[in-house]
Amino acid sequence: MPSPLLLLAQVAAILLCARVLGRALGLVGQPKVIGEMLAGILLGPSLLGWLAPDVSTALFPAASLGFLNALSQIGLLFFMFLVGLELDPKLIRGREHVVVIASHASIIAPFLLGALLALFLYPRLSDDDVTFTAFALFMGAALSVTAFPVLARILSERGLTRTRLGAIAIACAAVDDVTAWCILAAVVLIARSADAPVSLPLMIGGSILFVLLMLTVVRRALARLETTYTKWGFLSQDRIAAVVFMVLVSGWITERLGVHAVFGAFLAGAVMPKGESFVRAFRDRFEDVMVVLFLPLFFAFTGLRTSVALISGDLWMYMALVLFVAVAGKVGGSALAARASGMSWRESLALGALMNTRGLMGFVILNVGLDIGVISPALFAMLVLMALATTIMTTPLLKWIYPPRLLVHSERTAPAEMAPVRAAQS
Amino acid sequence: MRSALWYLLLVGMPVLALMGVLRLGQGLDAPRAVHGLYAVTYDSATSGPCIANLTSAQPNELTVAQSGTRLDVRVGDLLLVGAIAGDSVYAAAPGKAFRTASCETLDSVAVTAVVVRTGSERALVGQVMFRGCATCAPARFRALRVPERSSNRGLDA
Repeated sequence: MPSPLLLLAQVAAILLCARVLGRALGLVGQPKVIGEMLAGILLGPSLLGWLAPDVSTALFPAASLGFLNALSQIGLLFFMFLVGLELDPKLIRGREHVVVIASHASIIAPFLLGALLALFLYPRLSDDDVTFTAFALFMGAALSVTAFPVLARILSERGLTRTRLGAIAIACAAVDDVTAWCILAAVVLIARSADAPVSLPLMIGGSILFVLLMLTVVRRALARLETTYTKWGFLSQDRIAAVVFMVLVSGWITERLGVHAVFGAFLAGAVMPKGESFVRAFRDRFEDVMVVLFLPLFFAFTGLRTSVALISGDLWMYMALVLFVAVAGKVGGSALAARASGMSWRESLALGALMNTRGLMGFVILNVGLDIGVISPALFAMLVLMALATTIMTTPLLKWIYPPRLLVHSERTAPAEMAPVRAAQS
Repeated sequence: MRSALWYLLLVGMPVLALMGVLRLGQGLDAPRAVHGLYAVTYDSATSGPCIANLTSAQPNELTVAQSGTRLDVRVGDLLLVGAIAGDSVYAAAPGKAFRTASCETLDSVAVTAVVVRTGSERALVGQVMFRGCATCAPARFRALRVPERSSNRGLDA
């Protein structure tokens, strides 16, 4: 175990860097979370380790990173719980037609292009411990994810939340999230089947059984929690502890089944009751500590695993190709589907630009991929940069496609009950 | 009806294409996997103090981080960069930082090895060479990969 002093210094350095960069990026019109993501990468071998290797080794010695990892993983579990908590079926009600086509097309287009790209990258950046199927499916999942919380933040900051575009974008992102996690769960099952603690049929059967259990028994039990909350108007610490316990147990079970703990936590959030005040009560208790403390730790841990130095020579061309495929697949797929559903070209392209936000959900998926050994360190670094770049480009791209002057004319059709979904980084 | 057609075109067709891509990829070969932590034993007849002088840390462990054919081989604080071609591994590092009184002319440190697979076991068999240093003979070694449940591909973090 590292010295407590070292751990405190690490956490303090990460928080300071995240807040400063978050504020700085906020000044140029970017969501704060991008600054926090960038801070993580800058504290890793890509900048600090390159500019001041002695400082980097003293502050983040390899032997101490296990503890930082443990802290960031616990934070990640509760962050995924919050993401699941924010998902509300009401979001797609009334616009199923456009949402189903646009969200599915916005997943399958980058997914297919990612798999095609895998034909080129597999012999160059993978190894024979990984099957082509697992590699290609993972590339597809990494390229097709949309960051629901960052998207919500951008919509809120641009005043688009209550427009038709905003409502459709948030609904598509919600469907994308659920679909991407299901796909990723399948990829993890395939990749881990060889050395998982349980056999493949047990992994699949156990996972299905667990999901059904959560959707029926646990959901019903949680409904009682909401009834009690509505009756008394507050959440007791015992009830919060019960939910925390459920998140941890759910994460433990999915990890034990060989899927990944983040799926259990996400599922735990997804089956929570969706009453607005109940969700807000939970979110208010969890969100600040998650956003201020744990997410920057997760970004820093991701940054410490990211070595941009691994991308050299031809690999920069591969990186450009990955970025091009990611943007073309996501923007193109979403825009075409939205246009086919009757939206104007401007709205369709704006939806594509919004869906292209990968942000921290991209980071979560990439860390899972590196953990299970389905991607190599160099490809991890490329995909981290791709996730960062696509998130950074969202706001300027959106401003270009959908200038603020046009916002006043936009159709405001979002239902009144659809409150702006608070972003993780607010 | 129109929506269903669009759905088939924008979702159904790409799904079929995806299945084709997955099938096409089955014929591809990726480089041999060598990433991971290895326990190293040196041939006592060939290894001398030169090995011990290389690194302040444990020289009996090496970690390989792999990205396709590119390899980063770490022995304690010594990082060798190289590649794998077929079953042959080669990695080298400049020797300047590791010059000692007994070996002031060391140009580079290099590792050459072959991958040996026996069942689920994977090993590297080869030698460490001290180029430009007449007093240090190549040291033969055998490195056995330590099994790990969840691969982190040899990354420190």
